[in-house]
Formats: sequence, C-alpha cells, structure tokens
Amino acid sequence: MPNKTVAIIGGGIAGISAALELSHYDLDIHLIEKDYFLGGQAINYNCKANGQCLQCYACLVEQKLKELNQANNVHIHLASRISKFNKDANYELELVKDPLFDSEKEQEILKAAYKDDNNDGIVLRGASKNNIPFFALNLDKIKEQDQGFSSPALSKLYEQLDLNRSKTKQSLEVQGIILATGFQPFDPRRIQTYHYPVLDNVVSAFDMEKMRKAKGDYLRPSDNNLPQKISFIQCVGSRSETQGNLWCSRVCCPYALKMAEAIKTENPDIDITFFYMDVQNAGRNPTISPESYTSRFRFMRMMPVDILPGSDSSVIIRYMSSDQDKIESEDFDLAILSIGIEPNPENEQISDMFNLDLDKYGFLEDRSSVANTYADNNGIFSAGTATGPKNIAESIEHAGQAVKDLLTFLSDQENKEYGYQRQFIFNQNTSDRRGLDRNLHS
Amino acid sequence: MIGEGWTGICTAKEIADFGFEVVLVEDNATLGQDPEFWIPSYLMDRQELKNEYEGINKHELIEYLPERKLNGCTGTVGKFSVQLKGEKDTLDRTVGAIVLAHESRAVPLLESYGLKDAQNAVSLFQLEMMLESYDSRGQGEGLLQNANQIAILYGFDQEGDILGQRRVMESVAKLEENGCDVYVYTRNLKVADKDLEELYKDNRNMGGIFFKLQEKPEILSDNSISHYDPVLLRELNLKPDILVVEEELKPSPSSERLIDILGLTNPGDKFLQENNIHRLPVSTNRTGIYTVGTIRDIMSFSNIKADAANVAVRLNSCFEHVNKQYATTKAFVDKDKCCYCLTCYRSCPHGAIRLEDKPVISSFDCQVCGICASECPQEAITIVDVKWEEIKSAVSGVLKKSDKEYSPKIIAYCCENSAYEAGLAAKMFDRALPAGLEIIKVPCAGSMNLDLILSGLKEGADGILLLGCHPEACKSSKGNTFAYWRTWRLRKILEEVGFSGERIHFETLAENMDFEFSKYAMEMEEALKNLGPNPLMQPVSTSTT
Repeated sequence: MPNKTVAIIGGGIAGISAALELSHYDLDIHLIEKDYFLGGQAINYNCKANGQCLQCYACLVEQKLKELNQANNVHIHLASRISKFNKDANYELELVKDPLFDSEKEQEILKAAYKDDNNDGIVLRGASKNNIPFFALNLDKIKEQDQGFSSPALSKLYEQLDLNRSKTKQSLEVQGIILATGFQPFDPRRIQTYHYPVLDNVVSAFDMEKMRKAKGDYLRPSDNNLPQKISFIQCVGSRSETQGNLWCSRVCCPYALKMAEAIKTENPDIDITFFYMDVQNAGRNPTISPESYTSRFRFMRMMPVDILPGSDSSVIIRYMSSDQDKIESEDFDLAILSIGIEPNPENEQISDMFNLDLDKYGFLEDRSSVANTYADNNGIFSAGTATGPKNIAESIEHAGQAVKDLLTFLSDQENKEYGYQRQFIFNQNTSDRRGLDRNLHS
Repeated sequence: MIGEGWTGICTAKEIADFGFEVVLVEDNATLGQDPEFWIPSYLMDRQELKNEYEGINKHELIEYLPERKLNGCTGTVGKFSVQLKGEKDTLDRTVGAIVLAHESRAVPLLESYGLKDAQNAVSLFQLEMMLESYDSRGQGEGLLQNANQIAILYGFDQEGDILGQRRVMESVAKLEENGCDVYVYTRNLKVADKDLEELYKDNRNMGGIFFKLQEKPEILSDNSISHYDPVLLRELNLKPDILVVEEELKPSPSSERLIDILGLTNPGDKFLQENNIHRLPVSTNRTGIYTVGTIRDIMSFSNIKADAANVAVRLNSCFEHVNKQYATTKAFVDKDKCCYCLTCYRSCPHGAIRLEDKPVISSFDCQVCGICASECPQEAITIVDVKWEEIKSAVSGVLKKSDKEYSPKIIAYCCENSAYEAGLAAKMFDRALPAGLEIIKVPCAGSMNLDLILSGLKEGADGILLLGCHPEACKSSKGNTFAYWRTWRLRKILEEVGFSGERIHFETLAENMDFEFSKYAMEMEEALKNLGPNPLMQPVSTSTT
C-alpha cells in the first residue's frame, strides 16, 4: 500500500499538536510554517505559576515542540509559503521557501551577530530552546537596510553569509490537509483614545509577555522599573460592535487574571485594577476563584473613556464614575490592554485557495463540527484558533479532533479504492480491533 | 467503554467509527432509555438523537450492554479484565483500554435561593420543558399560561457553567418571542462560547433585561426580588409571575466508585480527572484509561465530541506504546528483600503495581518516575533505565574537577520534565549561571531518596539544589510533594549535625522558566558564598593525640 502523505499548514500549537498526533500513524507529514520558527503565538507566553500551576498551558507548547523534534515522520518546512494549490485528484502544493542559514557554521555567525543587533530585528532568535534552527536572518529587514548595517558584527554578515541565496521551490503531493493557520491579535492602535503605542506605558498584554521573555520580569517600558500601580483593560477589540468584533475572545480574562496573579505573587505590594465587563472565568476549576481574585484585585465594571499622558511618564485613565454622572481621572504606572483574538487576515485567501467557507465573523469554517457528513468531504480540515477563539488546551484538543477526521477520511478513501468494508488501516501496531495485544494473547 | 446518556453514545460511536470494537456499558440505564434527559431541543435535534441511539444497537463494532455497572477491574493496558455486574449476573470482558464517559447532573439550586417551597419557582430545566409546549401546542402550558413577567436568577451560586448560560439565553429568546417580559439577574455574563455574544445582543433587542449584580439579589417573603441597581442607582423591586433558578452541574455520582475500582488519582472534587496539565485533554494517571465529557470537566456539547475524537486518536498511540514496551522490564522488585509493606503499591502514582505473591510492576503502566524505589524502605526495587550508580559517579566525577578560583560547587538534581529543560534553556538563552553549577538529570524530583540527595554533599558539593515541577503540574502527580518533604527533613537533619540547612534547597519550575532557573541557582551560589566551603571537605588535622 502506498504511503499516504498529509500536509499541516501552520506551525502554531494546533499545527504542532496535529503533526504530533499524526506522527503515531504510518504517514508522511509535512508541517508548513511561514515564519522562521515553530510555535506560533503560544510559544511567546510565559509560565504563570504562583507557586502552584495555574494551568496557563504555556509549558505544554514547549513540551510538544520538543516531542515534535523527535518524531521522524514529520517534515518541517520553515519560512515557507504556499504559492500554488492544485485541486486535482491528488492535492499538489507548491512551496516557496526563504533560505534558512541553518548549518552549524552559519548559526554560529548569526549567534555572534544577534548580540550586536541592538533590537533591529535583523537577526532573530527563537522563543524556545526547542526551535531548530535557533537563529534566523530576517531577509525582509535586510532589504530595507540600504544604508548598510548599524554595527560591525552585522556588516560582517555580508562577508560571511551569502545573502543573495535565492528562494527555493518545492512541490508536495498530499492526500489530506489540516489548516491550522491561527489568529491575529487585535491591533490596539485601532482604539485611538487609548493612545497605543504613543504612550510608552500603554502596552498590550502580548507586549508584556515578550518583555517577560526577554527581561525576566513584567516591567514598565519607559524606565524598565517595576510598576507600582497597574491597570488591566479587558475586552480590547472583543465584544465590541464598533470594532466589528461581536464575539468574546474567551482567553483574555483567564489570561489577564493569571498574569495579574503572577505579578502580584512576585510583588505583593503592586496594586492591580481591572476594567472589565464580565469575568469569563469558566470551567470546573477556574484556577483563580472569584473569592480570591476579587479580594486581591480591584474590579471596576466599566470601559475607560480614554488614556492620557500623566506626570512622570505615568498614564491617566479616565472613566465614568460609578455613583455620579461625571468623569473620574486616575493615575496608573502602567496600562495593560488585554487584546482579543481576530481572524487571520489571510483567511479570505485561504478560503479561496482551499474552498473552505468563512463564518460570519471571518474565521474558517469548523470542519470538525460538520465532518460527520462525509459525503462532501474533500480531505481538507481546519483546527485551532483559525476557526475561532480558543486557549492553548482547547487548540490542542481541537487539533486532535481534526486528526481523527483526517484519518477517517483517508481510511474511507482507501477502503473505497480497494473495495474494503469500512475499517481503519493506518494502525502500525499488531493490536486487533478491540485493542487487545496479540502478543499478550498468545 | 463505560458511559451514560448521550456522552456515552457519542463516544462509543466515535471510537467504533475509527475501527475499534467497543463494549458499551450503560452505567445508568434510565438515562439511556430517555434520550430527552436534559438536552433541550435547540441544543440537539430530537430526531438526530433518536437516530444516534438506534445506530448504537445496529453498529457492527459495538456490543451494547445496558444496565450494568463496573464491579471490578484487573490487568493493564492491552489486557484489562473487567467484571460487569447486572441485576442477575456478572459478565466478564477483556478489553484493551477503558473509556469513562459519564454525564453530570443538573441539580436545581432552589433551596439556596430560599425558593424551595415557592409555588411559582422552577428550575431552568423545568422552564425548558414548559417552553417546548410553545412548539407543540402553540401556547404556553402550566405556569406559563398566565405568565407575563419572568425572572431568571443565574450565576450567583456557581460560576463557569457555559452551557447553562446558553440555555438561559435561548430561553429568554423563546419567552420574548411569545410575549413575556424577561429579567435576568446574573453576576458575570458568560459569553465565552461560539455566538453567545450575538445571542446576548438579540436577547436585548427582543426586550430581555439583564441586571448584572455583584451580590445575589434579595428575595423577599412574597417571592419578589429586590436589588440596588448599579446603573439606575436606586432600589428596584420586581414581583415576577415565575422565578427561574439556575442549576448546579454536579459530576456523575459514579465517579468516586470508578476512581476506587480503577486506582485513579482522586482530584477530590468528585470529578474524575486530576487537575494536572499532563492529563489533558482526556488522559488519567493510568495508561489506557481515558475520561470523556462532563465527568472530567464542565464543558459545552461541542467539547464532548472533541473529547471523544481525541480518545479515538490516542487509543492507537496507546496500543503502539504497549507494543513497544512489550517484554521490556522497566522495574522489578527483589523478592528476597521485599517485606510486603505495600509502600510501593501505595506510593505509585500510575497504578502500575499490582499485588501477587509479591508486588509486581507492570511494564505497560510504569512511567519510570522512580518514586516507588525511593520510598521502598528495603531498597528492593530496581528501576532498569535509571542507573543510580551512574548518577552518583557523575556527581563525584564532576566534583573532582579542580577549580583555580573558588566558586561554590552546586549539584542541581533536575526533573527531566521541567527543571532539566529549564536548565538547558537557561544555557541557550545565556542566562547567568554559577560557575560551579552541575546539572544532573533525574526522572522525577520524587525519585531522589535521602541517600541520593545527600551523596552530593558527601562527595564534596557545597550545596544541593533539588528542582521539580510546580504543584499540580507533576507528571507523576505527587513527585514534587515527596521531594518537598524530603528536603524539609534533610534540612532538619543537617542542622542537627551542625551543618547549615541552607545547603539543601528545593524549588519548583516549569520547563520554559529559564529566568527562574538562573535566579534559583544564583541565589544558591550567593548563600553558599556566605556559608563557605563544605565542612566535610576541610582538611582534617591528623594530630589528635
């Protein structure tokens, strides 16, 4: 029987999980990522434990990435974009890849240059130690640098590396596809009254994660000191008809609460205020109970009107007072915007290319919820936040569901071809259909 | 497969469709008999539901055994023997894996709202039943006949039932459609599920009124509701014709019995799955035992199906694991040394030890965490893959390296699931690390017994770091607890013999915590600099006479 080949598009947590689950089957798996590194958005998050695991799931991403590097039937294509998709009997994907500079010598050169990069973003480093290669060269950035490089180490790159190495093309023939193309974080510049990023100390929660990754603490960007009074503003770009986003992004509340908890645990004297509509802390064990969070943080049920510059690089948040019809102003050291989840801006292209509908919000159609009607099934499935807001654990689970649908589809195809009764044929092992081990029986 | 109701049916079907044979045992037959149990029609089409039930009986790969309970279970993944007790007889079946798919119960909270005896108070489920009369008869029945104003109290006595929120909003829509005025009292409106925000907007457009309050509103003796409204800034009173009260989702009453029979780790809140990221989404502490649906967590319907699919996919890798492990011994008990104290049986977090004439460690279940070996008072257990002697010699090898400048020698015993990875990350990201730090990989912080931890000091290290996972994130459930106890005890012992207890330190980490790894190591170095070198390594003066 010929080996089946499948492609997973998107190397975030959903794509990684899907590849990992599929790697247990007798298949060739191609994981295609447009960025230089695997891990997507989720790899940038920090552990939020407050002495106890708060179930933020950030370490699961690290763990899955490590396991993925050990799977030998997964082929990883980094810095690759799909230029063509041919919908004939066997799907044909054409990939265009940027050069990676992944030899040991080239990595050494990049490592040396990374230290001198001064955050120009020319040499990039993976967010996880499990990113292979660990350093990458941002070729788009280099093209912008017509004046030459800012430091001697960087200009050395020209001499040492062949920067004119051209893109390569590769075509893949696959029988099934999982689209795990992820989401886009809401751009807080769209709410102009919050003055992001004009004010140094108005940051998105995502900026804070990157800050924590780079510097080891949640600091105030203006002076790299610990802030004493922080406000979280929830629902930035979510639950808002004016922004065109009439959905709850569902991850931001638990996420912001956990970040606040992590900050407060390190520095108990920091005052933390939440501006919010409703706390979306759901599930059997909301890890931080309402009793605990309402006693540790101040909760203000309102959305701020605007954020203005205050004295000494603090920010002034103005909001409607709760007992009278007037505007109150309050100083904060730092305002953290809990930005929501938006559809990937490329979803329309993806939808055209792969013949997949978009839902009314612009997310990809969730194929796993309709996949039981196999009649019109064409072997293309969607997973993770590409289909709507999900947290890390939910993305992993959703990927598992897409894997099941894909495997069932492939089996059905095979059975049709060979005229079998419905049965599953990709099991590598010797177990029979009840899962009983033959060796154990004999 | 042991299950109840729609969760059971759905899971059995997913697994069977995937090509596995399924023995479906219905724990509670009444639920199976009545497919309409608490699934409102807007959540699932009735016809579809009936079809699913009939499909189960016809499915060639499903053997359906209603009205039976799991009474006993022996064996391990690949070959479990289960006893299924019915009213008259007990059936035995041999299965490769066990899936638990029980449903939660919706318990009305009338009493906690003080509405137990109120004639016009109903639970959400009762309301939903009445609402169906609109469809069947075109008009309201029972209490709904003359009802105009309806109040729904939701989310004050339980947080986080996302499915319940959808039920409230669907009910509001239906009531408003039929000319009622609906008032919803809630604390936090849970809209974190597909389309709920839009449903909420529709509700308000139809005339539904939502009061969001921090505290439960007061219910007066005449069953009217009184609260101070934070928006209108005054007291409001409402005397509704019907009061609808939320329900609390309680896990299936079977869960404690199942935990007992199957040797699962008890999370202590009547659910079946531990609160542990390593168990997500559907695993338990035992290989080959899975859990699906509302018995593991509160979830919405789409998640139950996702759970079922995830079990199906994982079964294959689970059996693959069985095959790979076949005939390889991971750990064994020296029968001559064993005194049958059952410490290993009690301490194994994976239920891998069964009792025959002496304890036997199952190769399929064993996850090589080493906790049993470290707890065994007779040192009768050998873990094949973990060479303690190698760890010991690595320690002494490291310490013999001469250092020109004095820097404290620190041995860090790191759990391979978390701290060891964090240590590697700290190196890769160039975080500050003590010059004299040596990282030793161990299977679990809980695998280090007192002797092993101390051996580092004996061999000449100035300090010992024991690094494991955060509480509730330990792959072996309680390895970190053992490590914590042991360091605590060792510190006491050290202090008694005149050492400083600070020479041994335990911390918890996650695998992406390179900063913390560096921080703990540097703090240790700082402390050791103040304490000075290991007194055992001081030259001992020989002229004692």
